[in-house]
Amino acid sequence: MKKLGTFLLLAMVLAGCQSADPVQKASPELQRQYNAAFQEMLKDPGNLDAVMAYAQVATKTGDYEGAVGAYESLLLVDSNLPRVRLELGILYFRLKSYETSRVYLESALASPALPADVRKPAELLLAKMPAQSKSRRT
Amino acid sequence: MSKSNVVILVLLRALLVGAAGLALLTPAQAQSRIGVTQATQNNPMGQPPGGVDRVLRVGTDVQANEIISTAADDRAHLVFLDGTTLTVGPSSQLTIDKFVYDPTTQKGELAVNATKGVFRVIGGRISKTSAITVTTPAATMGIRGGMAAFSVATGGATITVSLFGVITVTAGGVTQTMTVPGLQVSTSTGGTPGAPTIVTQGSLSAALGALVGNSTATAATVAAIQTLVASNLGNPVTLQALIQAIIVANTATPITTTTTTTTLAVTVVPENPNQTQASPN
Repeated sequence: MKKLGTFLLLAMVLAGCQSADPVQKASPELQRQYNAAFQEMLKDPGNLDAVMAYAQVATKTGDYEGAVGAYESLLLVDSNLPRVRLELGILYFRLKSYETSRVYLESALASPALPADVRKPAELLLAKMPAQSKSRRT
Repeated sequence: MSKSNVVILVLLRALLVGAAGLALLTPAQAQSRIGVTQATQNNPMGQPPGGVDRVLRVGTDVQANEIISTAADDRAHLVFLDGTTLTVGPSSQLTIDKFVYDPTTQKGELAVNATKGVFRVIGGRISKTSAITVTTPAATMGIRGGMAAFSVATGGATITVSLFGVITVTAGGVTQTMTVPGLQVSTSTGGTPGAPTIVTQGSLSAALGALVGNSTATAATVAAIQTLVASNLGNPVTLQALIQAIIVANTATPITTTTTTTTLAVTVVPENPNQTQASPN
């Protein structure tokens, strides 16, 4: 019985470790696409199509950090990309990183270059932004 | 042919195949390639161990123990073999102290030492199972399953901003742990880290602003990116639906926070079943 308890505890710990990486929980086909897109980006990092393809498959896989990293690289090439800033705002929102999401959404909306037809969704997301969590001492 | 001769032939063939494979690698790849430069602004510099300074261009390999430095208007965005990215802002200097990664197990170690500047680390596969370590003259930080931005003053005083995941700051025998995005910890050189405080929009915006380019790309490059973005990032209808789904998923369960004297914690239900809040060490 003690061995069973130890085994279950170990299984729970291992499950907890694995759940932190969404890529490992994705389907084999999605993992294959993810790995292929990442390798393609590594091989040709200046290829914007490869960067975009990786960002999109990373988002699909649930690896929002990976997608953030790829989109951030585009902003280093040109910071005046409100549609990319909007995408980053969405990704940070999904990560519950609301303050960072707010920075990107506000900067996207401040740009006159943001297409009019995506302004409404962006404004909606900003309006629904939860307030910064307030801490309380225990 | 005797059995021993067959073995020798097999070994000789393996040796020749291996040598041919090595010959296909560039000198840089033959050394310890740990990542690649993905984007730059102006002339960020890299100095590989035992090598001379070279300007980091898009596609330039990054090696273990390489020193990365930037002048007042330089920036660099590096991607490592495990998917970790490091964005280096202006007037910065740091060293990739250690990078070990096994693609099969997707485990490894990454350590960065920074003496000054602004930079951001977005953890890849390594950070899912072990903390990425960032050391400055004032503190040692750990990034577990997440992202953090850092500002290191010339004297070493360090501000660490949590963007996602579990971020620890240790100095003088005291450790502060941030598990909620949007917090920051300040550490003066020779001191101990202060308690986590909520980052202000102004300072967060300034820190992130230092890590994007100054729109110095050529018109052709900008046009190419804009076309690519417009054609890939979903139409307004699907975007509207996506955002509605995200809002519903994020507001279905109220966020609750608890705080101990040194740790802020948040319990949330992931919007995407594949995405979970990183677990503390």
